[in-house]
Amino acid sequence: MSRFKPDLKTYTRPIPAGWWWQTPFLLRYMLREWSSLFVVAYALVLLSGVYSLSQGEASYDAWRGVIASPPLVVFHLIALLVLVYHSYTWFKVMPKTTPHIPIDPKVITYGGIAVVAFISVAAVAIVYWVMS
Amino acid sequence: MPFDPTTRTIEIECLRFNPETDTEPHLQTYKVPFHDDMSVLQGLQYIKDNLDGSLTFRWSCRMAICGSCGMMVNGVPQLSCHTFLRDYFPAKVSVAPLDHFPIIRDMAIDQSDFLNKLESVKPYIIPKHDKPIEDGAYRQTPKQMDQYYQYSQCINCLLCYAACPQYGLNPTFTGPAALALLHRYNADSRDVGWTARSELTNSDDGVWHCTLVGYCSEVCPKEVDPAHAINQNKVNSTMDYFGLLKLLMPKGATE
Amino acid sequence: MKRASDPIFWALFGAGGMLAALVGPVLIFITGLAVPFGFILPQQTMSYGNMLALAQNPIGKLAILAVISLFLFHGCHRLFHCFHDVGIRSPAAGKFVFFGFATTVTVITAVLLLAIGF
Repeated sequence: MSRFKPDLKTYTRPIPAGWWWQTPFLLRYMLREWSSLFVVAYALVLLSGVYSLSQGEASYDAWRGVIASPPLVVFHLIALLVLVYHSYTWFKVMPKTTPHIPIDPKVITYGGIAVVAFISVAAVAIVYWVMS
Repeated sequence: MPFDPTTRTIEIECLRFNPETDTEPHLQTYKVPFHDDMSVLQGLQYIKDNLDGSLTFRWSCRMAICGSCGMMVNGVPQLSCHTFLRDYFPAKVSVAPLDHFPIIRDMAIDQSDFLNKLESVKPYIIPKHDKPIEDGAYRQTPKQMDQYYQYSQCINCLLCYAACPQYGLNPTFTGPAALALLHRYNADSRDVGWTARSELTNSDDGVWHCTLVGYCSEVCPKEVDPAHAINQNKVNSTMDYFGLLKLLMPKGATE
Repeated sequence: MKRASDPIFWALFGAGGMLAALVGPVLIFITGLAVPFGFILPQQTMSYGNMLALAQNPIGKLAILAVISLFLFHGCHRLFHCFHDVGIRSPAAGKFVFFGFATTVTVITAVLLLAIGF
């Protein structure tokens, strides 16, 4: 018990279950955190691809068919948006994790986003060039 | 205080709790005439002076430096002297005591847990050697001071604790302001106390309880940026975990 | 005061988060949207022959393992805290479930990649 505790009977308010959607800032925090669900989901989709690959050509081609099906297309579209949001929020909070350096946080954030954009374009370009 | 006919009226809704008579808090709304230059604090002072002398709230400097008047204003932790009625008019202003703290009476909260947390971070210079007065003052470059200066600006207003959902969910968390102060001392070139403070820093109630919500830094009236203070120490704590901390710290910064 | 075990999981979380931030969007675009429909990149890109060659290559194996494993460790660490945030918390059980899942998936991936051969 603290020597600072007052003698009076105090009233303790429990944190409400809806604490995270009552403030826009906290709602965005929750969206950022739950975006990790799609990171896991996509990794599991890749795992299913690796599994089908290990079972031979017929199994792999079947997997390709499933990937091209409407539900999976919708999944990938949503996952793309969510992972873009992940990238954005990742670099938005990154300045808070660096040591105390005299660099404007915006430089880190926009720099990171620029790197993502560059890698994305470069990856597509390289695959395109290799396949042509 | 004379009010001219162009004064407008705003509704201020206050959370009331009297420990001697109430089992639960309740809301009470007051109609307050106001000028554009009136803060929420001045609105509460008008209520206390003219409408209801029992309304209880802490305040002192009226200029956002003492840290006494922290309250929830429309659900956001604010200094009531730093928040203006004109920005809410014509809507109602809801005033409540800071979240995540027990209520003593009306807007006055029990800060004892925070005071314990303050003590727990060893908020003082732990020097390498005792330095007698005859040896003169410590010397510090502007760059060395810059490493900790912003974290020394905390006025202990507790807005960050009201903002932090991790503290709200689990009050054993040391919390933003206390950890920012811990970092303030660790980052000071005169201090070698990382090891002395590391049991707390590296524990589940130290930096690892933080999930970088960042709301603490958003509400801080002094731009202390406790989120930055805590999260830059996750790397330090990790390196410490693997015994590699000396690679990161400047020479002689810790013993 | 008990020392937190978080540093290891946090380091994996950070690595996975960085990887997901850098290559996540483009990987999803290529594997889930472009190649299946021959949009910009030909459907041939992910043919059985090409993907088998990738998976049989040692560097390809490491890349596939890194992506799947680190994405899992990132996600599981964050989801563990997500559940804590909405009130479902049991530190010991939670860590076992979430990091156990990530470890299991990592092991399964490694085993499959080895089974695919060189």
